[in-house]
Amino acid sequence: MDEASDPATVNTATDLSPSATAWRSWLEEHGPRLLLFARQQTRSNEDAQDILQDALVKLVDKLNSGEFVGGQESWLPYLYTAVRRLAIDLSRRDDRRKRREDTVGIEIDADQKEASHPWFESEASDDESRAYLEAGLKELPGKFAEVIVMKIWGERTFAEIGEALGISQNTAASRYRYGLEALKRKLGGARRKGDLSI
Amino acid sequence: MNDEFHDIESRLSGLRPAPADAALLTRLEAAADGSLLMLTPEEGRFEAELGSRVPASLSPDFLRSLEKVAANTPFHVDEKIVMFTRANTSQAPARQYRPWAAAAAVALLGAATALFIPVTNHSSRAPTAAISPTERSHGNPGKGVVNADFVPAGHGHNLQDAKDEGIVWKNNVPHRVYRIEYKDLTSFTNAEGKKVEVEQPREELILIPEKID
Repeated sequence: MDEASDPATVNTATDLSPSATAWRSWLEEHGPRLLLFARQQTRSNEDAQDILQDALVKLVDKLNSGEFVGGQESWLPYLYTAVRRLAIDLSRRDDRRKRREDTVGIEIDADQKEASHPWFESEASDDESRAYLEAGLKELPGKFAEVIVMKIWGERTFAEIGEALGISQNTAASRYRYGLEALKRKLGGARRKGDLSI
Repeated sequence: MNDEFHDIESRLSGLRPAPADAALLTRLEAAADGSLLMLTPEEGRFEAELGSRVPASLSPDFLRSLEKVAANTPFHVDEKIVMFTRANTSQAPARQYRPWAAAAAVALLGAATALFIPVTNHSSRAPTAAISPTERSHGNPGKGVVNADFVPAGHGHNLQDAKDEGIVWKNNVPHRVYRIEYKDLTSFTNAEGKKVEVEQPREELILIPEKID
């Protein structure tokens, strides 16, 4: 059933306040990009969701207290930075926990779970090439992959990426270029075999 | 410094830093002339191919949880337009109860009535200048005055103060509130030249829609 013909959906939409309606469309537009970045920064879909939610809570707290500097155009840069910082914090906590626990079995479970949460949309016929691309991105060094994700799917400029990551825009551009080259090489084998459509 | 240190120092100073590789030199040159930020056509093509992939959409549960986080936060469209968080249900405008205004209206009505009611009871009772506040607020000030053969001689609003009380949101529209304080003064005189003055404090709250583009 499409959305327009679903009475429950229509009622919910009309009952929303103007603010809630605006937030919904904003989250529908930017949420997937932010979640993709969070997933690139974390080890699991659950961690990525937690971090994105925490980042949004931080933004909302700042907006409500009047501490946030800048308009709506500053929300995304703030969220990218917040997601990255929260991911670093989580990673440190996870590392400490891992040193205390035997996590081999847990990691295998997590990998299987991740396979059921693809990073990208795909048709069934296209699923293999999506999986190759996803695997290629995951294998890239994080410092390259994060720039690629922010530039291509986050539609950030090199200057904005540099600001979020604490590097110059030239360094961001260099990492992007190295990352693209590395990803192209990784995907090259699959492309030659005809497994990959891109 | 002993001979051993001299020896090490001379050996180290004989070393030369390795030259930068060609890739690094190219990169440094590109950074210097600004071309590092621009992609080659081939890189651009690969970027476009990757960009055709759409990030997975948020699950309905997760989207709902994010919406809950922002539910009570106004959505800033830009620095002037802010979408309000209250539900978009239109309500009948609530009538504002203004007791002083009501009392003033009663007093004025009484005074005006005194102008038109024929005076039949010519009492010799002296006018009372000291009218109790209760009589001023709830009674008919005109009655006693009429009985004493007084007639209205003048009326003034006497603006006392006007304050800008800031912005309130009413039916999702910002309004600027002005508080205006008056002290209405109605005076009555009689044939003997005696004068009675009735004072009535009054306050008005005026809501003016605020323009926010």
